[in-house]
Amino acid sequence: MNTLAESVPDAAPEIQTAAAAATHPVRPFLWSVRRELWETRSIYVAPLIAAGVFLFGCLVSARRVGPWLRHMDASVQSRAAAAYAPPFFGDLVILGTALVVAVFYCLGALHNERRDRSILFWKSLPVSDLTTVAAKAAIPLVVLPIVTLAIALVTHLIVVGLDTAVLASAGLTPQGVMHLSLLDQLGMLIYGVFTLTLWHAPIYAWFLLVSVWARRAPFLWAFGLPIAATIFENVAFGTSVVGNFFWKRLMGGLDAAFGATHHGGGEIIMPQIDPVGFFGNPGLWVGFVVAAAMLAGCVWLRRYREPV
Amino acid sequence: MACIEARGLTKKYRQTVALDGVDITVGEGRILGLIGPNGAGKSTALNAILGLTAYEGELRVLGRNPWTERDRLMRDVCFISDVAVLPRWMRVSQALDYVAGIHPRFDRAKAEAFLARTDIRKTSKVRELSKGMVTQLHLALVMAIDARLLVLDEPTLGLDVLFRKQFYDSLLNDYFDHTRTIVVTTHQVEEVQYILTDLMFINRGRIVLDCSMEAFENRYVELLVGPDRVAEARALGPIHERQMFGRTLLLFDGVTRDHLAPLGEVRTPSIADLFVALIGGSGAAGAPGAAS
Repeated sequence: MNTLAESVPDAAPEIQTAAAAATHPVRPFLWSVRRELWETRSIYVAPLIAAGVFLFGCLVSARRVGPWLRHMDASVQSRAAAAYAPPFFGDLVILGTALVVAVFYCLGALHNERRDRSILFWKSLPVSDLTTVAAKAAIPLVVLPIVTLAIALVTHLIVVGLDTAVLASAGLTPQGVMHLSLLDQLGMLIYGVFTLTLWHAPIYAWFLLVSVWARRAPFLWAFGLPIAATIFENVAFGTSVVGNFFWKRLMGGLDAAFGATHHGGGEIIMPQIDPVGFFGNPGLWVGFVVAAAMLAGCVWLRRYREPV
Repeated sequence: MACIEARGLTKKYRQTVALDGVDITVGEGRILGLIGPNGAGKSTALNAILGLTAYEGELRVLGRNPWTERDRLMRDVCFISDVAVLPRWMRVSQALDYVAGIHPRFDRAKAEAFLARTDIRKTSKVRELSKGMVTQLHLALVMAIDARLLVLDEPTLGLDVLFRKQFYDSLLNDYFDHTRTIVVTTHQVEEVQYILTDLMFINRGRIVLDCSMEAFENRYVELLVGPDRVAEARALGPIHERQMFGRTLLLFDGVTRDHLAPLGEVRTPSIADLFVALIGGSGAAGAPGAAS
């Protein structure tokens, strides 16, 4: 064991300039976001793995589907090709993975620091509760969507390339099979991630609130309370307003963003982006207000929080 | 300006009163030892000073309200605690990067020079370090911060004697410069006795003793006296007495050494002895020094 008791060189003058930079309010925020990425690497690892698994599946199926299409009757060939491995399916896999990662991240974000007592260390540093909560909320609302989008875009392009090759081997062109140009597809993906994130904002805020509030088992509280409310309403009043409300918030994001996508007749109709309808939807704005209130609650509660 | 100024500091939990109208004044450049049995209110007082807990009463630390201005206050205050653990997932290099990123008064070169003299590798995660090394790392981070107040809450709990000795040596030689203020709570009283400038005993949420070490040394005297003169000594009004190898050890408050010297062996009591005399009799469990 070496001794610490020897003298240490004095502070260099350049420290003073560094100190001036460190007082800028954005700096603690950016470092806090970085800290979250150090702690929770699944933020980028999980979507990467999802993309990898999906791409590997596509590769394997490409060997199978090419010959299958080639030996198919020409009348059904194009319909069958359209149903095969659409790149949007890969997008949904990656987005779904990101949603799960975001939920688990939020549930632990303000809870784990209390369980492992490191909250006392974080609070002994000049970072406000507002900055901390903002950094943690930025993960599901900003960082994860950007990471997901980047991974999904690359995956999408690879799958389109792969599909084109498979279709070409069967004598088909992608234009004859896909309803949207590549540019439209990518635009739709970007729009979809953007709107879905905004739509889900109150869900993330709720999980963060439970994370800072619950003394134990935040997972049970976060899911248990909405489920209990749904069941209670159903039993007591025979209605399902609450259940529909939660379900719409969880699953209704794509409907709200793309307008009505359900058409009869079994015909595959590509959804249309509907930003006017989306931003005119009062549900979106109510969600923002609720999310902001819950995040404010997180800031307020964290000040009172001690290790559990 | 006093570094810490508390008037009527009170903290109530549902069942218990942890702090019962405490007045504390700590001047700049002092090293205060806050000594008390378990559950006396030491940690509560420190948590209030650090803005980690809400309280009633008046409290200013470096002129600020710690509860409403914690983040601003923490630029000038550092905290090492047995319980305020570094996050186990963090790498040593990440801890340096992070503190350098967010703390305006952190001197990274100083922290690295410090770590270079330990066995801690920068690529290690905190969970891979021994308890002593985690404390060394925390100390390296804190000593590289040009803070005005350092709060230590049982900083050496669970460390072996080498680490403990080294901890206080580093603190005195490398850190303390007579403008900084240190507040320390510990059960290992004998290890801090020689570094303190001020002493405060706290029991059941109240201050039992508050004096400088000079006053402590002038005021309290211990007399070891044989059985033949013990009656004479008792007549002078000792505040505590115990038997030692057939002789009697008497503790006096405010009796001069000249008075006592003819009766036997005179010496300055240890803080632990005084603690037992003042608090041990009141039924409080877990006197300091008992554990070490």
